[in-house]
Amino acid sequence: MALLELHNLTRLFGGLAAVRGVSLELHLGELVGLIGPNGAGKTTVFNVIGGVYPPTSGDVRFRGESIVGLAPHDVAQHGITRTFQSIRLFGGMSVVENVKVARHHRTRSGLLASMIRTQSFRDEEAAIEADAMELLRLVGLAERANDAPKSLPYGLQRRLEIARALAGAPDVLLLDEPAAGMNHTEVDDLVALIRRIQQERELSVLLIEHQMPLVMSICKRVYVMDFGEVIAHGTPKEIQNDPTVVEAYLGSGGRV
Amino acid sequence: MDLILNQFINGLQRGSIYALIALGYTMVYGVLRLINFAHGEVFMIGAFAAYFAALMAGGGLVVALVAAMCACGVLGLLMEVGVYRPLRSRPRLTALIAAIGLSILLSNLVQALQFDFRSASGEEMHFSGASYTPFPADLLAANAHYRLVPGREVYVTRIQGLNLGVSVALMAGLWLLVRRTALGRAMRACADNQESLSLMGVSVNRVIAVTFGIGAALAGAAGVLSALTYPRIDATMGLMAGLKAFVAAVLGGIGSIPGAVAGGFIMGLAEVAAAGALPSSPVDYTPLADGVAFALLILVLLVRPQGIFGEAESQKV
Amino acid sequence: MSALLNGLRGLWQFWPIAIALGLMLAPVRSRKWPWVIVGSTLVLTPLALSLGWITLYAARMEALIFITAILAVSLNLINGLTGLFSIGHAGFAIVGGYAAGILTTFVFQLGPETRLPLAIPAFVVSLLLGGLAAAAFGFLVGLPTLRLRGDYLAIATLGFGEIICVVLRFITFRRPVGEQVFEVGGPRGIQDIPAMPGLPIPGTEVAMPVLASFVYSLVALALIVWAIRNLSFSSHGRACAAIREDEVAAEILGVDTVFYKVGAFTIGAFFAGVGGALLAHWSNMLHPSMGGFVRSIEYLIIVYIGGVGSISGSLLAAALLLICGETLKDVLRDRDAWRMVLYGGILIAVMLWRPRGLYGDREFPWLMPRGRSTDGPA
Repeated sequence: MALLELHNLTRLFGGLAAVRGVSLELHLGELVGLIGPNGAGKTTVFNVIGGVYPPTSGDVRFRGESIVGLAPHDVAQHGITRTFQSIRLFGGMSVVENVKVARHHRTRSGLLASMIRTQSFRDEEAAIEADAMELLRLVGLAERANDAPKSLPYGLQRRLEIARALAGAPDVLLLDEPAAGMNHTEVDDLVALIRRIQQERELSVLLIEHQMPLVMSICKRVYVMDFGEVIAHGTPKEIQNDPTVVEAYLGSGGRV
Repeated sequence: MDLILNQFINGLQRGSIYALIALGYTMVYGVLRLINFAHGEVFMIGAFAAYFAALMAGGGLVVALVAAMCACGVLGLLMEVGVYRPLRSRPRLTALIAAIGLSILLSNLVQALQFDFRSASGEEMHFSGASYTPFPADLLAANAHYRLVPGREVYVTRIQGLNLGVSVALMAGLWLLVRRTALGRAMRACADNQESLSLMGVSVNRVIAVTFGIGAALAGAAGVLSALTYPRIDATMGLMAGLKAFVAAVLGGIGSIPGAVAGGFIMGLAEVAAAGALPSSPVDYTPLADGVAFALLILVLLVRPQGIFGEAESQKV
Repeated sequence: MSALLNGLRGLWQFWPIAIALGLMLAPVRSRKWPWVIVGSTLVLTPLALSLGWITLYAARMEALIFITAILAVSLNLINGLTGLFSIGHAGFAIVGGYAAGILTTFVFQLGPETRLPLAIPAFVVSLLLGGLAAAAFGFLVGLPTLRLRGDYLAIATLGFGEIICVVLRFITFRRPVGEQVFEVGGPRGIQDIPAMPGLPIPGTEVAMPVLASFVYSLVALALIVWAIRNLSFSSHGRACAAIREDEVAAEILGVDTVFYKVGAFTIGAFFAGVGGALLAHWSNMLHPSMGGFVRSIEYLIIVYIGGVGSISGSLLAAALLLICGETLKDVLRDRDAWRMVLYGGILIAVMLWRPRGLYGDREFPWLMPRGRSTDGPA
């Protein structure tokens, strides 16, 4: 049984099938890639897994149980977090606060304790601060903890998104184009970071990416989507030589 | 039965006033995605503009109507150019708060004014915004009534007829403008996609300004018509009427011109029905009829926020 | 010229508040500082009153400043911290006022003859129950408006506020007391709400109601500001701020947005209810119109001129606006309507040229918890 399973997932928007009959598996500790031309439905898959909208048909199973119908915050609490295709940092909050808020669902202090600042509340705040700073150190943002996210260069903003996603202590991490807009050095750093995160925290990662070198170097397996369907699946080497994949990319002027 | 028909005519008349005001809300929302909180005050100023036109200039109904519509049109233009245009690049909330500020400023400005003036017929008069002002409806329209259906006690007063006639004429005029003229096309495009419109060489600012002006002029006309029917005008009349007309616009689908018309008539009829259904004494239940408007609003927002003719908005994640 | 002198005199009568404002603006980081501010204000005004250095009227107005500040910071919790656009706040306040007023007038029947050990707890209990009643309404407003955004949410909250006023116009409460039947409510509202209970110190009978309202309002304000500030700088507060920044992202990251949005309304309404209960006993009467749009706008103006999201800004703006209002009343005399024209103009000007208000989202240094920069609440 895989950690995360999609069974024949379909999501219609009006008459348009953004995702049709998609099945995939993510096993414990794996790093799996999800690639495909723009508009293939990859982010929609993430949205359905995350509960942003329910599937029209099909199932999403986490640890064997269906999570369809859960509100997005419940999905996060169950242990699946994500980053976004376009950066969605909380601009009015500092870097460290962005990370802290993602850890919120794990805090125990209630309303009253917060309002009168009991000792247990203070202890928990200290723990939250410590955890958040540790994550920032992991992604290399510790010195910028109190800065505004907008003041960070693009690459660091992406890292902050990752730190934020990790704050929820997930078992499954969904990364939506984490390397978008990065140059070669930044991509290499990102690869090293993802590898390290995965090993240290025993995470299972599902990665949407366009940058082939990144996908090829770290993904154990890759699913290829086009027009809402999975058209190929295998190791990076296998799908690189798959004619359907090549056609899908070249046909839309994509880059392989 | 006769009572119901008479009340129906009443409802249509009130509805036509709401519809005219609602049109202004909906047109501005269509091009700016902004609720012009100060729109109700424009309605109020229309009534006062007509008052002064009738008394100081001695004109008849047509003069008063034209004066009100011109004055309000200019006011609408000033609001857009002076307040809303500079705020266009800011978050919508900022403009909304500024609109609230405008509303407070305008209604209290009229309330604060006090001065003496001489009427066209040579009388010395005193205007005080703090109290009710009697509108010279009789100067403008004789108070006759006509039997609508022979054999039954169903009447239409001359003022009601004027009210409905002018309203429908204005709405028809707007319809023609929006559907048949280049300006109307520009307005519709502006509500749809402003960037493309400006790329095609149309001055978006100008279209928006005109939209504001037309919406305001309609509200001004509504002010005159309302003053004819309920000839006690005061500086606070814009608040309630504006709120109810806004509910009407939301009911019909904010941004939709047919929606504003439909919503306005529904609101007028609903109000009259609610007032009629309630006992008239010993307690004054009219505020409860006002409450109907808000209850209707909450209902619409919960059940079908896009209104009758509107389209649901969806967010991309 | 006389207008100017009147104005200056009007301004001068609030000198204790000026001192308090000065203390608040001091760039002191010590967390003992709030004690200094509250303590000095608590002592200064009664002292000045007994020495005849300020008028009874001014002391009464100071209490109103505190009450208005309570309503402003409670609104800030909803609009500023959580980013909801609620413009019917006076509706919550008036529910609290009615609940508490009915309790003290009817149930506890507080009056000058009520014995002290009963009067004060009874009053405090009425305040809290008023808050709870308002909180229930906050919950009822928060729940159905969850999916509404921006303008729509504003109009819906406005509508709810007006509905509350309309309903209050028609509900009457009857209670047989002895031979008579007391009836309150309806279009006349509630009259003869008892004054806040004070201490029977000999020689202070006249000033005691004013003193009592001063003390209760100040203490309530201090406690409420402390609670709201603690909430803002906690995990709960961060969750609300995230909702304000990007609701969808917050939800996806694990924040239960339904819970926190309804929670914001409920908690904000609770504090507003306490404020409304205090207001009812300050003015000794309540009228349904006091829960309407016009009042709500007043609180809105204070919050946005002070800087939405800043507790400090709301405190400053509440004091400044009320003081300016009183001063203007003296200057303008019978032309008081111009005051509201001015407020409208100021609001527009602020939105045009300084939309972040007086304080943006910053706070006084002594309001920030340990180890934070002077950034905003979240």
